Amino acid sequence: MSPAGAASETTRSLMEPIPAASAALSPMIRARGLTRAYDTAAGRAFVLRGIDLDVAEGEFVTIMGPSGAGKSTLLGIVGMLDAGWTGEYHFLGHPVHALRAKERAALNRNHIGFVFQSYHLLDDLTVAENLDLPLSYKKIRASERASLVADTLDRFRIVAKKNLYPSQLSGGQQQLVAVARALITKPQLVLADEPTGNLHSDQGREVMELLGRLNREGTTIVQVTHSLENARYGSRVIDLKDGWIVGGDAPRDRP
Amino acid sequence: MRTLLLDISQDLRFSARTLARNPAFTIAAVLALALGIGANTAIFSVVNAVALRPFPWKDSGRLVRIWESAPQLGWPRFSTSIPNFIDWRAQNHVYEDIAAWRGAELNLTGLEEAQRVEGGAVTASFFTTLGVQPSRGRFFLPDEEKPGADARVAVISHGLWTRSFGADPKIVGRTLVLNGADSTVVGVLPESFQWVLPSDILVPLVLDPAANRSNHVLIVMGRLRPGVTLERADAEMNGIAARLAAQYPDSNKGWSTQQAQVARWIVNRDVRRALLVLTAAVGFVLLIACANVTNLLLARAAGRRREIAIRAALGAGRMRVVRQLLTESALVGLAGGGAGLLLALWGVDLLRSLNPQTIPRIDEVSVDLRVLAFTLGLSLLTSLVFGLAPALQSSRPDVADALKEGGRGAPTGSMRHRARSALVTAEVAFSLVLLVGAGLLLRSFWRLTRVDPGFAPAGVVTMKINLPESKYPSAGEIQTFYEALFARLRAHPGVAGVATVSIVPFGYGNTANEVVIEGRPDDPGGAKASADWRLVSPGYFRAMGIPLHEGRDFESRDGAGPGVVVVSEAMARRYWPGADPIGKRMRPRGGKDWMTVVGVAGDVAHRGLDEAPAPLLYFCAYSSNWNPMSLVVRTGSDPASVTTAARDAVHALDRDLPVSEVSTLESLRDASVAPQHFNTLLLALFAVLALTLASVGIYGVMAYAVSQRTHEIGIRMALGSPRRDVLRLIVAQAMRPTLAGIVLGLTAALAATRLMQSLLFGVSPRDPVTFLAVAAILVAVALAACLVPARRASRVDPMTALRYE
Repeated sequence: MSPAGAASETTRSLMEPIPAASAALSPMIRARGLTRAYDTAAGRAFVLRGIDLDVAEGEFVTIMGPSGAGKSTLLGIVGMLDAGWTGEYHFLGHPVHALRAKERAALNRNHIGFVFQSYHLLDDLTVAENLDLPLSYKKIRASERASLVADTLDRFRIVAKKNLYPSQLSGGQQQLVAVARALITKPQLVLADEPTGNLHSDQGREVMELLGRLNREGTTIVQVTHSLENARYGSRVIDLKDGWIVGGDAPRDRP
Repeated sequence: MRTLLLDISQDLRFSARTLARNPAFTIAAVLALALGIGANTAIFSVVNAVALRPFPWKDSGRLVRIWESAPQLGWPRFSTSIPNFIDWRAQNHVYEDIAAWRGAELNLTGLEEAQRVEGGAVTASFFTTLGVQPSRGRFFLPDEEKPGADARVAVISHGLWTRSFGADPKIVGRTLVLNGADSTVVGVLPESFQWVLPSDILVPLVLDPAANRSNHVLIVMGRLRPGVTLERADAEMNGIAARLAAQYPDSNKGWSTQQAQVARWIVNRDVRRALLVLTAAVGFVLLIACANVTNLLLARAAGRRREIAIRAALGAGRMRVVRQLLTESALVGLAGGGAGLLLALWGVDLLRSLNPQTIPRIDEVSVDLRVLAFTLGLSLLTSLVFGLAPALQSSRPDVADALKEGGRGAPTGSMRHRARSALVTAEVAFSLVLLVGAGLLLRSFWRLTRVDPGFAPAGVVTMKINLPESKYPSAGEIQTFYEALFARLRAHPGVAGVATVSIVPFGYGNTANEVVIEGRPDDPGGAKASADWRLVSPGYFRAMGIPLHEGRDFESRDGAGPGVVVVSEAMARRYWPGADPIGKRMRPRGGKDWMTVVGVAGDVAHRGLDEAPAPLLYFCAYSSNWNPMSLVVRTGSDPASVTTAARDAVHALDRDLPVSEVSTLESLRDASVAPQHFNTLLLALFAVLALTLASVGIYGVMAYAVSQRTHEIGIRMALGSPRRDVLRLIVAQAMRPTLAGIVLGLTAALAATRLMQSLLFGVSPRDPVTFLAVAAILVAVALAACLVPARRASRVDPMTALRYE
């Protein structure tokens, strides 16, 4: 096992206990009737309508659909960044719909990593500091944090860039750092929102191969994308349109 | 623990970096806070020195100042007569020690140059009461204050010892010539000794039990026995006063006592009130600065929405985000505090130079550890005040929306807008209270400086001359000296009048007496007639420009002849209402011979410009050997040349006579209103500061609000709205928080200015002119602040505005 893998064990040992029975019996993500709507002057505007979704541990799921279909909204709900929805949502056996904001934040912190289209690195922090950021929000000892950052820099081959600021990196390098930051806490679930949207094709392919490798190593991945090519890295596609799930297939069966 | 420290150090590092990358925000915030914290630190350093730092006397809390009191005569706190002091000392059980000080004008001669020394005659108990030990020699012995002891001994201050005697190690035993007579130095006061009254040379105070009980000349203080309260001391001393009144009704009837801690005497009610008003003023300035910084942070929060959302998405809890934002605020606060401290150092120097006399212990004002701790604490507290609300608001972003590609961007929600409008309202309200306070003081000061003092101070030079009793023992010899001096001075070109007076108007101190008016019985309640009095030489009224309304001036022969007096109009009105006072008779209580009124002079504001002229009685200077006297010389030419001529004339007559306290009456007048000038100047300064900060704050909010509406403005103009209507719409909406602030501020000012009542002269704390003028100024400032961005917005090309995101 690689040093990073050893660190992963340590990190996991700090996570909240998951009831063994429900973890064993349920998929990682189980949502029923997820609905998200906004009140507007013209009445209620629905972004998601009665979404049922199951994602098993180790899956690589792709959410596709036209703009405004509700893809990113669904990802935000799965990642517990959004609270204004209705329906039932279980994550690793935890009834997220019944949890308080603080408990949801803990679930997010301990189990989920995000990769965004526009990287969302903090401009005022160096590469190393950006990597350390999610660790600093967990109760991890300082020495262990330093070691995790060093390992991650090494694993992603960005040691030479550790003291650079995001503005000093190319788009691909920035997304690489963003992926590294999403993975540094060894999350069980990685949520990627258009991870290659701002990259040219070579860089995009590199990032997707990285995600594919992670999935093969056991990390569950849910991505939102418009790209069929990216969808082929995953095992399953969910099609959204106007807030409804309108289909779902294996990616290679799609036209 | 180590992890926590690492987190804190990371927060600090990130915060510093963030601030460094936003220099416009950082400089604006630090500058606003520096002004607010600097003003507070400067005023606190005064409060610290004046009211908080302990006095340099042993157990200073037990030191009490004791007065005789006759409120019905307008003398609630009056000096003590020698026999009453002796009785107090013998009969009280509440004071461990009780001491007396009497001013002594001493000419020190026999050195290179004759000098007049500020000194006092003190009882032997003076030193034990204050708890001071001599650095050399000894202090006075009880026998040295007995009548007839004729102990020609002196104790000198450390300052005089080093200044005039070169720190002579053999000073004890050395002979000095004081007022023309030999005195032996028996001791030197320690360098640390401080006392509020002159004490360069102290001589024994002779306590003659047979002295006149109506002659109140002593400043008395005592040291309470341990455990004795001021109330108990008050009760016992008033019991003694009642017994003395029964025993000596002619002199003591109607007299009681008053007592106050020496600290409360020195830092009196007016000083405390002025410090309270100034503290409140700088507090308001800081609150306005805080409101400005909060506004900046709220504006900046919109730009940081994405960053906060990323932190939240990466697992940062709300408190963690708040901590990070408060760390930034603390850094801004500390930077503002540091810069404020530098401003305060400069401000403290300025305060000292503005007001060396009127605030006690002003020379002790400095930035010490307590002031530093205050500044540090204030900086951190300030950070919390301006940083907490924006931090709490920013820590709850709509994460999903903020992170969305092409998300809605900064929310222009009504909550944030309301928060900023509320801050404008608060800024306007605080500024209004401060401006009203400053306005009232300005109007009060303006009125004070326009009070007619009853004489013409321009062109009058004054100086003190002390004729030693050993050389000028009688009134006749004193008259001879002064008449010779006057003759010399009158010969000097440019001298239009010359005379002497016992206390020059606006000079330090007052002399007053109960008087008996022939044919006027005492009031049934025991209230007796009384008047302030002055000794003046012939020609005084002319030299001072005081009109003589009836009768005549004093003449040279009045000194030796039957007693005559000149009375002021106020005295004539009070004691001879409706009658011609010329030829009427009166005498000081205790005096035997009737004195005839020969003249009525115009009223003079001799107690100060802020007091109505009290009845004033003039005696002829040539009838007394009173010392020292102030020479007044009216000149139409350069006062400096007259001063030199006067000095030369004095030295030509007696080369051992020092001339002191040389000044002009205009300078004395200015000095007499120095406390009001000081308060007005500072409050006006703080008000201008507040107005500037508030204007910047209002402008910032208005500019931001207008920029948020650029798109809407574009639509309106594209739809044909005239520019004027757009302008009116924006200004009308922008002025709402200002008008709310004015209403709130006026209400608060009505309550707050009552505090200032005792600081005002001739102006009501609710003066409508001031209130309206200040409200108008603030409306004008706010209008200007919102017109600039509104006009800019109304001139924007509609197409540009429509593209505006």
